[in-house]
Amino acid sequence: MSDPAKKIAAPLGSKANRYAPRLDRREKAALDILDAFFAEHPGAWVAFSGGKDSTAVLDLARRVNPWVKVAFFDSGLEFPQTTQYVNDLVESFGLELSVYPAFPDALTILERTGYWEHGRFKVKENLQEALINRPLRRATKSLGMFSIYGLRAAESKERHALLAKHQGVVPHHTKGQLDRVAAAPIWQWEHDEVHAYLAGRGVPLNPLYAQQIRLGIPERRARVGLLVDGNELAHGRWAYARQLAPDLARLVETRLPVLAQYR
Amino acid sequence: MTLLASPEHRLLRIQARLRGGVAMDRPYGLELSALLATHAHRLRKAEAVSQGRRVHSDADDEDPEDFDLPLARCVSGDDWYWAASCAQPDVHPEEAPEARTYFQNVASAHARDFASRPLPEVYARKGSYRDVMMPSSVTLASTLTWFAIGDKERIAAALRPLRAIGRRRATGEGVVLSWSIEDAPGDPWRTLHLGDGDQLLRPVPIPVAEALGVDYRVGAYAIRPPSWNPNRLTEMAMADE
Repeated sequence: MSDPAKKIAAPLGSKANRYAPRLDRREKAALDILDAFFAEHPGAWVAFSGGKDSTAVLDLARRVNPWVKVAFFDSGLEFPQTTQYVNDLVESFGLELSVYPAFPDALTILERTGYWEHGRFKVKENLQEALINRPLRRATKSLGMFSIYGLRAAESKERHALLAKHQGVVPHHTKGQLDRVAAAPIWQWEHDEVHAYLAGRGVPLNPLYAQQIRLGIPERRARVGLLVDGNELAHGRWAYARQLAPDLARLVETRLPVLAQYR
Repeated sequence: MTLLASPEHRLLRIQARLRGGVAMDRPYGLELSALLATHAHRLRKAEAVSQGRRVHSDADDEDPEDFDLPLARCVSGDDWYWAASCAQPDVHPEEAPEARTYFQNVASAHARDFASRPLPEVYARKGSYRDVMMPSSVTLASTLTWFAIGDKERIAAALRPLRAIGRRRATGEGVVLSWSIEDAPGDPWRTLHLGDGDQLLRPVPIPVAEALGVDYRVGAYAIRPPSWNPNRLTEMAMADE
């Protein structure tokens, strides 16, 4: 038997110990941002996508305001697992959820572009405008201009610069006028801290994460988003999507035939 | 529900012994009728090419032509499907496929030197010669089993030349060491659809699942080849996961 006294500690300790002390500080900072945000704007709502970051934010927001309103922007091309997960959370958390469907839906827009069918004339379409900006404007109109997101600085340099400048509460202006204010309480969190927080709180994750890892996708590259993504097709994005949602994928391939090359 | 069979049609168990797994969809992949149809399609194409004729693509036909396959037909209402199951690998249904990777990179300078005609510009990010690094989910089965009602001799003749099946054959996946075809005991209709268990071995029209008395969910699936034609996609009953 090995002698415990002779056991050599890992330089950084266990994963749980490594993140636990910092996670407490992160959690406190996030709750402080939310406390101040809700005190100033009691009607603030959470934008929920079904991903891990917005799930962590939803849980934090509910700790400060259990009756917080939640918005879900439905692109029309969500994984069925995400739709089911959102419905399950609505039931188990008793959420007041408003769904903002994209119109036209993502599949119709992709089909219109002509990029997905051989020999079609190609037209530029703005997915960001149709799937995010327009539903967001509708949500802002009906739920108010103060919203809460699961954005993190570590996701991109631009995001880091913006969130650091405003310390996690970002005002957005249109034509010089304040349009909306977005709070990102977990803006300083790292990928592992989000997972550690959710595991510690016992909040279930979207099952898509576990299913992607089972297929061999590294944990850090597992994504919950649109079923069809024009990026990384030659690196298996669609091949994985087909395995994760085969029924929906067969229907999508009938409308976007080029995808069949990327199985 | 009716089974349209000829006198030479019998209930068969078909097995492929594999070298090291196969890249296939699960739970429903490598339908036997699709294997036979692909073989028939290739023969038809080879014949057309040898005669200098253009091969007609049926991908957009409203009602694509059916292949003449050595299988019985299962009729359900106005539609029908071939009496053949999907491949059943000898692995536990919960066992995850092995994550392998498939690469394709064109050495453009080499290709230009050795091409028999001038090559267009080779782009690494688009076109037929683009770089590819795709996942290859391989089911590590040693045997695949199908049930079918059909003509034993003609099925054997069609399957014998197939030395590899499934995806990524060019990189060594799905190599078949041997085929075996034998008569199967049992009630043809029930064994064809359920095998030895009580899970659907292939997607079927909803009335068929109801008549078999099994749990099912509804999803989109091609009722019969050519499955690449979108008009063949219909709502079918599949095993409830």
